[in-house]
Order: sequence, then structure tokens, then C-alpha cells
Amino acid sequence: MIKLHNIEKYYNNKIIKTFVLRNINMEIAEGEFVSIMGPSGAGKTTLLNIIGMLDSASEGEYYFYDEPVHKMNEKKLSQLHKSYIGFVFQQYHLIDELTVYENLETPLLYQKVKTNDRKGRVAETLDKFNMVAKKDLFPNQLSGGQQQLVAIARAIIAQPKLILADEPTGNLHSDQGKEIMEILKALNKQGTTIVQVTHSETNAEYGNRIIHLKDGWIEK
Amino acid sequence: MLKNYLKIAIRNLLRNKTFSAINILGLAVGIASCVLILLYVQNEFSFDSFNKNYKRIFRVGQNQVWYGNKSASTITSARLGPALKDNFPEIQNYVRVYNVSRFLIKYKDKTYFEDNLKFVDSSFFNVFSFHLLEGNPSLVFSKPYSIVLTKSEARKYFGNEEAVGKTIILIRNNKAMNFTVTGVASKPPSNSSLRFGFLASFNTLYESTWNFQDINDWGQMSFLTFVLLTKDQSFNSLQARLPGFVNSQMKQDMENFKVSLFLQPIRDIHLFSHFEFDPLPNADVKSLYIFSVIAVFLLLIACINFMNLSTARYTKRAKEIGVRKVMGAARLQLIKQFLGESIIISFAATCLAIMLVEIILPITKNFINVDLKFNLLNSISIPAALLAVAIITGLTAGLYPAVLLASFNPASIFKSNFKSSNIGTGARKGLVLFQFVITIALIVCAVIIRKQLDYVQHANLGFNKNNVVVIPLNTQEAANNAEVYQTEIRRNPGVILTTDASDYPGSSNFSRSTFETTGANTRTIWMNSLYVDSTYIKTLGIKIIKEKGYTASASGNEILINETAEKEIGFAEPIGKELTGGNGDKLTIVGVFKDFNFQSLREKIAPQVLRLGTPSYGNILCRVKPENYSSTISFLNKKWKEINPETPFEYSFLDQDWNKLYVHEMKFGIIANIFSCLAIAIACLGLFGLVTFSVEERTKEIGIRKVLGASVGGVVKLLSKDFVKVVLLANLIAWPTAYYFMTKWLNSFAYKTGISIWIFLMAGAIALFVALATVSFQAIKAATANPVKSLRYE
Repeated sequence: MIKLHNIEKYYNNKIIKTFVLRNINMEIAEGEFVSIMGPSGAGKTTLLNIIGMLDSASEGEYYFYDEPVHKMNEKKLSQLHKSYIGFVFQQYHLIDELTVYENLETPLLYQKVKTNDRKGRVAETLDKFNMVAKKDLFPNQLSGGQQQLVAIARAIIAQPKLILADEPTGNLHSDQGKEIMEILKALNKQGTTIVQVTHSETNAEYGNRIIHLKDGWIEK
Repeated sequence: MLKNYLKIAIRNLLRNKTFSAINILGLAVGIASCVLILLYVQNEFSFDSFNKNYKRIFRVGQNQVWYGNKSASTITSARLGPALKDNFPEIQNYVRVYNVSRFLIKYKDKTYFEDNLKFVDSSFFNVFSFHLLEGNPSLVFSKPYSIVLTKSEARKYFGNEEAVGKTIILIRNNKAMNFTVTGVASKPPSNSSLRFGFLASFNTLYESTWNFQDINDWGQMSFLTFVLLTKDQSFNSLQARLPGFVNSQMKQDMENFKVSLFLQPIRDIHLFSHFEFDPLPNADVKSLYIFSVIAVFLLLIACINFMNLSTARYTKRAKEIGVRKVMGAARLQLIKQFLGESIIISFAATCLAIMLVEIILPITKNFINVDLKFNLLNSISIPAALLAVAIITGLTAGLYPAVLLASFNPASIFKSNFKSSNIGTGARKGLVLFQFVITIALIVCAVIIRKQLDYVQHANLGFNKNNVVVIPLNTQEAANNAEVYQTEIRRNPGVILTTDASDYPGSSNFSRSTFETTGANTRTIWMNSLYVDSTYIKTLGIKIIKEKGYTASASGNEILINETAEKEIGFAEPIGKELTGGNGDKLTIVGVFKDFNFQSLREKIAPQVLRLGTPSYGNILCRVKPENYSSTISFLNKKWKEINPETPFEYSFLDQDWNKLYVHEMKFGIIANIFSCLAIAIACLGLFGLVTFSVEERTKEIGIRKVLGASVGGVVKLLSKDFVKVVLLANLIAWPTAYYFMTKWLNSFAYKTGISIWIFLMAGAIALFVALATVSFQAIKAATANPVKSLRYE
């Protein structure tokens, strides 16, 4: 599903090149649950962003379903990532001005899903996550765990093939964290490919493969 | 999708009340100014378009050369209209209009002076689309001595009685004539260049009792001639054949007088004609353009507020942008969303602007004396224009922020050190700079206009315009009794001097005529001439430079000339020399007086002749003591009634009449004042928003600085430094710009105030002060806040 070949990421600061990612080569197959681990500043989030097409690599090749992402224009990229990829962030990143219902609805709006279909899918998802009662609340009226639940629900509502989670439990206490990880695992069981960035060994264990990053290099 | 955007937009508006208020208020003021100016401009451009036939109505004008003196004029001979119709089949009809001022009209015990009487041909109501309430449009002027009144005039004379069929008396040259009211018209629309209160039948002028000797003379030019063409396309071919007509019809009657005719579309009269002796008051299209540009600038300043506040405060929106991008929003979708928001704001502003216009319009009605109509429901054009203004404003204000914000990279937005306030900082400063350039330039212009108006009102004119009462001698009775009246009123201790004069400085009419030098090299010189009596010079306080003891002889053959005339004539010793007047009179120069401004200061002082003698039909000028002049006036009134029982007493003050010369400039000055105040208010509103934002952003920094020992002054300086720099820089751009335009404007005056550096410094200081006051309001609040509080939230 994902093939990275000699990916480099660096920033030009005047004269000095600051490297974030060095010579990354990896493959992720459909159905995998991959955890990326490493100390702060190792480049985990950058790698996740590149995989999620939010950021582009400075050098190297990236194939998504054998299509060359590094050669695509913005329109194509946006097309690709909105139909295949869902994101979950540490800070949840819900839209504060929208209710739970509206937050869930937004990705479907961007995919131009028809009204009836859209309503059905939002209702179904609310039901699945036991949030029907909370659908008219705003994010700041919810606890952190509930917000992250909404964020995950939002990430999967468009039925992506790939979920990218950047420290999804980082801001949650352990019980809530566990609940979230269980949900991710269940999603993986149903066939969704998951790549998560995490600091926690326990959370990494939910996956079936761990990639260690250090100073931009993959530790073998 | 649209619903989603709308929700976000409205919730954002409500959440950020300060910013929404600043944006909506600023835009509303800008839009309201634009709407008002647009209404005014539209009204000015709509002049005479109420005539159904306006495309086919033309006024005939004349380019003429007389003794080498070229001019373009709109008054023509009474013979022209009929002759044109006889010669050109494409002329369907003609209307001549003869304007008479100062008529005494009498009905029973009611007597008034009327200024707005016009004699018109019977085709008047067929050619023009004025509305006749009573009477038959084709017949009202068919008989001599017929008169049509407007409704309000009819009410003035007849009250609630039926007007049609009544007989009223017009008094001219001491001769009373009976006119029969044949119709009542409604008041001419305010966008008509032809105004009237009374219309009388033109054929009256041919009656022997009227005694209008020159009505059949090609050389007697006193009449406006309008023609109605059969179709508007024939205009050019007709224009081309006019020279032939002049040669065959007009030439034999006039020597030394070369004439060519031209046709002027009726809609051009109001804005595009500046002819000599144009009896129709007209406006200058240039000032319309200036007002329009200024209004657009105001709106632009308000739009800039929106741009700046939007781009500055987008840290808050950045997350939303990032999330939306992650969820698959394309850049174009985000641009559309943000544009939608700005259009919502501009719609809200437009609604507020409509309310503002509704409130302001009645006030402006009194003040610029124009009846502007703002009727939202009556026509489609106003709502359509408002809609267009709202959308254009929304797009102008929203496009830059939308494009900038939609270009954010989500990966960088989600980084913890992301600060959107750093984005577009340069552009923001540039836009604030632009706002202040306009504001400062407007202030400079307003101050210079003010100063010039002050100058023209208080300049040393060469005569003393204060404390002079002008009493017009409107009737033969009053003219005959002028001497008696003057002798009577001079007995009052409040009256210092009186004089009799055909015209006085500032009065609109004066005559220009030719004077010929006698002797070897005869030369013809055009000079302004007026008949005055011998106390004129003293009453007005004009300085005599050279004289040879003149007497108050009534012969009218002794003249005084001004210095300019002396130079023009070129006599080494003018006293005692002779000139030949236009009608062959031999005139002796008995004195030279110092130049004084007879016309407004726009005009250079022209060569001038004062002819000593008793003027007929002039004015009495009366120098009074400033102390309790009201009792003096009532004395003047009392004596007048005793001596001239048949003539109503009218008077005015010379200085007030003089100031009326600058009505247009005063209007211009007031509008410039209002606009510059609005501009600085809107610009400061924007500054206020920016500072509020920057204080919010830098709460932590301010807290840390204070903990480290920064003083309140230091913090205020920190926060205001950037804005002050921008305002200072704005001065450097605004000054030369304003200087350029104001020198151009001042060039329309022959006598003008100087533009000193102080004006610029003052305008700069005002802008800087107001900006600083705005900024420090927030800055001081932030600087005095307890740092413990601001740091707690970290």
C-alpha cells in the first residue's frame, strides 16, 4: 500500500541544512497496524505527515497504491488523501465552532456525499460510538476522551483505507487511552490500515509492527 | 456545505464581537458614504432626463466673436427659433425661454417680488415633460397675457381659491399689466435645469403694450432657444448645415459680429456647460468625480480594516483551516468559504449602511439642498446597486485574506510553535500605511480648503464689505424716490453714508463694454463698467490714487478707472484724457482708484470703469454703524414704506452677498471635512482592532517583560512603536500627494492663500496623535495588567 524510497526531509536555514528525516525506506502493507516510536525530535510526526500527504518530502519517492505521490499536483493529492486517509491528532483538532454532529458531517461534505446518505452515515457513526445524546454539544462541552472519540469517529466516517494517528492517547488518562486503543485495534481487525506515532510501549504493543526512529534515521 | 459555512461564519462573528463590530461598523460607514455619494452623483447625472423626449431636445448655443472678443453663449435672438423651424424639416418644434428677474406680482392685497418668471412658447408643455395639473397643455399659452403658476405659488396668492381664470397684475417699468391664469403646474422636478414658479405666454412680448422693441432684431440676444428634433439621429446632419443657415439668415443684420451655432443635448446642460450668461445654474462634473473617488477611498479604508483584522487574527482560524484541509478540503473550497464569510459581513454592513443612509439623508437634504431619493422598494436599480456594492465590498475585503489563509500548510499549522500573526505582517503594515496616506492627505486637503475659504472671506478686497446694507431698487417707484429716500435715511444717526449704484461687488450681474482710446493709435479695450454716484467710492471705502476733483454731475461723462485699466490703456498721465464708450459717448477720466475685487477671488481683477452719474434701477448701498443695526434696519424699513408704499422692502448685507460667491467651495470644504473625519475614524478603528489583537497575542511576552522589570512606558512603547513608524512614513507619502492636488485646486483662484509647511506638520500631528491615543488605550491596559494573571494561563 505504501512504499517509501530514500525519503529525505530537510529545512534550509540560511547556510545550514537541518535534516529531519534521513534515507527512509519502508513499506506498509494493507491491513497492517504500524507503530512509529522514538524520542522527541526524531521526525516521527514529519514522517506521518509525509505519509498523510500533508507535507512533502525534500527528496525521495513515495508510492501510494503504486502511484507516485511525489509527482502529484495539489489537486490530485487532496483528492487522494480525502478518499483514502483519516487523521487522528493528539490535540483532537475538532472545529470548535461546530457541534459534534457537524464535525462528523464535515468530511462527508468535502467528499460531496448526498444529503440522505450523509445523514445516514453520521447517525450510524454516532450510534456506533454511543454519542447520539451528545450530538448537539460543542467540543468544549466534552471531556478529552470524548473529544478524541469524536475525532476518531470523524476520521473513520469517510471509510478511509488508512488511519494515521499522531499520539492519539497523548492527552488522555490511561483508562480513556485504553478505550481509544481498543477502538483502533477493532478498526484494524475490520481491515483498516493504521499507522500511529506513540511514546508509549503499551500502546505500541497494540500494533503488529514497530518502527523506531532516531535523529531522522530508521533504527534497524 | 453552504449551511456549514454559514454556521461557522455566524458563530465566528458572534464569538469575536469586537472584531465583528469593527468590521461591520467600518464597512457600514464606508458603504453609507458610497451610497450617499452615488445617490448624489446619480441625481446630478439624471438632470433633465425626466423629459420623455430628452434624446431629441437640444439647446441652441452660439460661438461668437465681437471686436476680437471670443465667447460661447447660450442666449440667442428671438428670431432664431422660428427661423430654424422654417428652414429645417427635422426640427419638429422649438421653445424659446425668456428669463426675467425681479418682477412685482400683485393679487388683491398680496404683493411679492418674484424672481422665477419665464416667458415661454406655447409648445413648452409639448416639448418638455413638466406636469400640468390644471389647464390644457397645448392651449395655456396660446393667448398673450396668459400665465401658469406652480401649485405652491398659486396657493401663495390665491390660498384655497380656484386659481384658473383669476387675473393677476405684473408690474414692469411702472406699468401694470393684467395676466390671466390659464393653468397650474406642479413644481419642476429637482433634477430639472429649467426652474420656474411662473410661466407666461411668449407672444405677450410681441404686444405693443409690452413695448419690447428689439424682439425682431437678430442682434438682440436674450432668449434661450430649445429645439425638438423629429429623431435624435438627425442631430449630426443638422449641425453640419447650421453654418449655411447662419450665412443666409443671420448675417445681413449683424456687422462686426461673427456667429456660429451649435446644438447642445439637453442632458449636457447641467454638468457639461460653462458658458457666458448661462441663466441655468449648473454644476461641475469634476467635483462629482472627486467625491466619488473619496467615497471609494473611504470604503477601501474600511475594507483594509477587514483584511488586516482577518489576516491578523487567524491563529484562531488556523486550526480550523488545518483540520479542514486534513479532511480533504481543497484550497478553492476554503477560499470560497472565507469569501462567503466576508460577503456575509459586508451584507450585514450594508444593512446597517441602509439604516445610516435613512438617518443621514434628511439631514443632507437641508444641507446640500438636493432632494435625493432613496427608495428601496420603488425601483430595481437601488437594491441591485446595493447588492453589487455588498458583493464587491465582500470580495475586495475578503479575497486577500481568503487566498492567504487557504494557502496555509496544515503540517505547519499543527506544529506547536505556529503563529499565524507572523503571516502577512509586511502586507498588513503596507495596508495600514495606505490607510494613513489617504487619511493624512484628506486632512491636509480639508485644512487647505478651510484656509483658502478663510482667506477669501477675510482677504483685503480693496473695499470694506462689512456693515453695508444693500437695498435693491426693484421698481420705477423706488428708483424715482431713491434720492428722497437717501436724504431721509441719512438723518438717522445709525446711517453713515449712502450711495446709489447699478451694481456692487459680489452681485452677479455687471456689464462689460468696449472703450476706445482717442488720438493717434485708437485701441479698443473691454472693461467692466458700472454707473455709480459720487459717494460710491467713500461708502465702500475704495482708495483713490489720483484725482482731479470730480463733481457729482449727472452727465455720466466723467469716469474713474482702476489701476489695472490704467496699465491696460497705457496713458502716462491718464487724468483728463478721453475715452469713447461703446455707444459713442465721450468720457473723461477724472481719477484713478486702487484695484478692488469686484468679482470673486477666482477671477483676476479686470480693468474697471466707474461712470459717475445717477444709475437707473440700481441699488442703494448704505453704510451703517455696527451698533444696534437692527433698529437701523427697522428704521430703513419704516421710511421705505412711507416713501414707496407700492414696493416691498428688501435688503441684504454686502458681506453675506459676497460670501455667497463661495457657496460651492464651502460645500466642498464641509464635505472634505466630513470625509477626513470619517477616514481617520475608520482607520483608527482598524488600528484599535490590530492593537487589541497584538496585545492578546503578546500577553505572555508582556507578562514576562514586566516580571523582568519593564516599566509601563516601556511596554506601551513596545506596542506602539511599529504603528507610529507607519504613521510617520505615511506622512512622507501623503504630503507631496496632497500638495500636488491642492496646488491644482488653488490654481482655480486668481488670489490664493499660501501652502505652508505648518499645515502638513499639523495634519501629521493630528493623525499621529489620534493613532497614538487609539493604540495606547489598549497598550496601557495591557501594560498595567498584573503579570501574575497573564502568566497564570501558561
